[in-house]
Amino acid sequence: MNKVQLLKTISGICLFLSLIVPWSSVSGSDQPLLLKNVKVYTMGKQGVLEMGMLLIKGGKIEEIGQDIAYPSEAEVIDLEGRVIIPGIVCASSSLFIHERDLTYPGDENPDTDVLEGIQYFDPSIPEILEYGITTAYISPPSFQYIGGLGAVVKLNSKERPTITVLREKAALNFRLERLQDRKTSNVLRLTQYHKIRDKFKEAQEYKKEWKDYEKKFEEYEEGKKKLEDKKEDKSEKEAGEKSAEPKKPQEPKKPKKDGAKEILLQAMEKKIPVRFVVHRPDSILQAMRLGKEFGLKVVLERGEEWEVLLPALEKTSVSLLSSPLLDYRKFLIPGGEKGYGSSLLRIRGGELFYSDETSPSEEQENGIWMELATSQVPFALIPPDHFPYSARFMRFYAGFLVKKGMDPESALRAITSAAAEILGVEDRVGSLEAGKDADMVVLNGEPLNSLSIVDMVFVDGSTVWKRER
Amino acid sequence: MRKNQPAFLIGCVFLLVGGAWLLNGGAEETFLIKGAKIYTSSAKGILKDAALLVEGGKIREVIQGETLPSLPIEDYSGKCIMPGMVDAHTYLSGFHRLLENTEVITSDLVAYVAFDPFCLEVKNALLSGITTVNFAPRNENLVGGISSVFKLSPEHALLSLLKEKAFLKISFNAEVQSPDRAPTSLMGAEKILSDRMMAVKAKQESRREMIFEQQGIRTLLKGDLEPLIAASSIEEINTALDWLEAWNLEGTIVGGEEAHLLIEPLKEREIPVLFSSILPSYPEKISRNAALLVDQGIKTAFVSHMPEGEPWGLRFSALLLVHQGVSQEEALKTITINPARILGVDHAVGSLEEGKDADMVILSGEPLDLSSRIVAVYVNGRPVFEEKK
Repeated sequence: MNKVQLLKTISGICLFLSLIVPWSSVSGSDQPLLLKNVKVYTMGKQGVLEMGMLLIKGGKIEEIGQDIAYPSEAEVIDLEGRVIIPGIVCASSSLFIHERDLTYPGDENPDTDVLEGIQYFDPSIPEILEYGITTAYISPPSFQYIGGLGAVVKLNSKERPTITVLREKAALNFRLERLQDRKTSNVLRLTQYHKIRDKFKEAQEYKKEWKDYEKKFEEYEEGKKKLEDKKEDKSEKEAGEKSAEPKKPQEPKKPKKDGAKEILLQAMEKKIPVRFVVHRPDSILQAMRLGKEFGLKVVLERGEEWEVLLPALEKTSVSLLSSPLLDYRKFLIPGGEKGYGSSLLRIRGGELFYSDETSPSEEQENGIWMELATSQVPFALIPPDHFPYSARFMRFYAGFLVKKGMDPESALRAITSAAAEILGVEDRVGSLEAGKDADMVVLNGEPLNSLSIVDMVFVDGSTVWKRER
Repeated sequence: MRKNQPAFLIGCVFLLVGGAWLLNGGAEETFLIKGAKIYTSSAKGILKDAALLVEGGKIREVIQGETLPSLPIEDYSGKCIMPGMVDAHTYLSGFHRLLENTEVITSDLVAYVAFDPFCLEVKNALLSGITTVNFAPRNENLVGGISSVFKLSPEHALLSLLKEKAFLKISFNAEVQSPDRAPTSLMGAEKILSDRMMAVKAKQESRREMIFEQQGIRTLLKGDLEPLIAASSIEEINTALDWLEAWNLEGTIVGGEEAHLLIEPLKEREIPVLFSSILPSYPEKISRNAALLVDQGIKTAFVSHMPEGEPWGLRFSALLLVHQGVSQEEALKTITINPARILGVDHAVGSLEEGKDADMVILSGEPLDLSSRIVAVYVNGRPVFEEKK
């Protein structure tokens, strides 16, 4: 009787488990997810798909198309004609760095890695995700001429808000123009250039030193071997007989390993892109000169007056990170032509001013942003200031680009696929293509209309944010 | 002499015609202005395919329907029309001129003296669609002076004042505290202000030498002027509310970052809040706080504090409200009719209605979409600038 009862309970438990287990696996990421009835801006080869479908499996995009076959166990979400774009990529930010680190300068070295200073559980993560930003480059805070190494991170809040590193040592930051005493001056620009150039020269010397050492060490090894061979010969021939010992080769002195210079060498091998923060066209020229001299992969940041040098930029393989909202000229003459003096600058905390409004006719006349879009220069949009929270509004800044005459498609590219390419993470993020990470933003309207509201955000195939209102 | 007479006569005729043309020019014109959508910011809401009949710089009629009177027409089909924006707290060019820091209470000063119509900020404000401003003294003085409301008009040299004496600017903001003069604290600020008001009240008005002293405080005590109080944090706003109650005054708060924590008293006493416009670098909670004020029915308007803030800050802040769940129409009111009401100039500006001034902004898309271009701005029925067609 007892045994029967036991069997019954065991079989009951088994039945219960068999019911529970498949359900528990459903909530895991293994279950495929199908999004249907959605306008897809793939930002890849497939272009824009009206009424498309996306199949997501294991955090990656499995397939995209108009009508795709999907497994019956897939969870299906009908998006009712909404719009989907890739997770937005912010090409420059100071997200997740503590305020103090942003205001107080520390030591600056090429091997200072921003990853050692960021807050992996920053409370602002959900607030950034809410606006559809899923990937961001974090610039190391910089006050002098070397910023150090930046990194590309992905935001996630599946279990708890956190960030994962997508690419470490994503770029090496330099400042070619330094805003000291709240203005840029030629003198400071000149010293900045030479300080940076000296660093690269030193790294070249260092490389030479190591090469010399290696050569000498080889010679030494050879000499030692020869000596040993001779000894062996002697011992074989006449053991115990004393003779004049041949001169012992001297071991060369090993040069000290220098992490900073190693990084610079990697930059010179184009393994790490080099970012130059520049403002005026003269500095852009200097950055290009440095790039040519040391064989660097140059990325220009800010570069407000890039339009002067657009043909030159096109010839060299230089990438540009900029925004129509930036204007350093106001910084040169505080408060504009009338000069308000220091009180205003104190309020702005020494931050750059945003650019002035220009009348639409002026904009139409120059149309520089459209020119940039049609040129060969890789371009990505950046926030108009270095404050962390400014990274949220990438979609609105792209709206400004459209207002300034760029076509919406290029403007959207500047915050997704083009940004991912410049950051060197295009194999994972920036476009919706089979095999890439399922980072997506669902909107209730056209992507660059600022009034379109983010309804859902996916990172690695799981919902990290959903609008409840 | 005789030979010259015909030439003289012709000259006279030209002069007369020219004079008549000058008098008739611009403001007296009657025309229709048409757009795809008109955001009226009034009870009429959003009108599709409507037109405005502008006469003498004012809106004479809002015409709905197909049949339009045969008049010259400014056709902006496919574009949106919204009222000229009202910026209820701005310094424009006057930033360095709006502070008289020899004394901490300078209630006799009138801000518009410091207005420079030709400065860059006025151009920027107009190009961003701001047509009416409340030009106020700065926050560093306990009593800064008297603010004025006027139009940013194309006739630069003439100041078209809507209200010469709008508010007495009082500041409980942190900026009023300075280490080298009193007050050095919020408590001190409140005490100094109350003491001065007591002293002014106690003095006999008949004394002739007193006529030009503390005019601002005098008119405030008479009830002819309302205070505009700069206060951002909860303790500053609290102090402002207590002070208003103690002197039995009605007032307006400017700044208002933490006003959402005092919704009950603000609502009860119908105190409007002029919320500092939101810059991109502000944390998310600021836009949440602003949305809370609007949701709770506090009369709220965004102000730019130009050049501390940005001229596009008004539209940007209203857009952030939309992202907090406020409707576009309601959000638009925080930069048009709400500030006009708070300034007491809603009889003339702030919405597109019959009898109001023809101040309009024409945009290539929806008003709060930042990718829409501002195509034209009209002040008093005249285009301040227009995109080349």
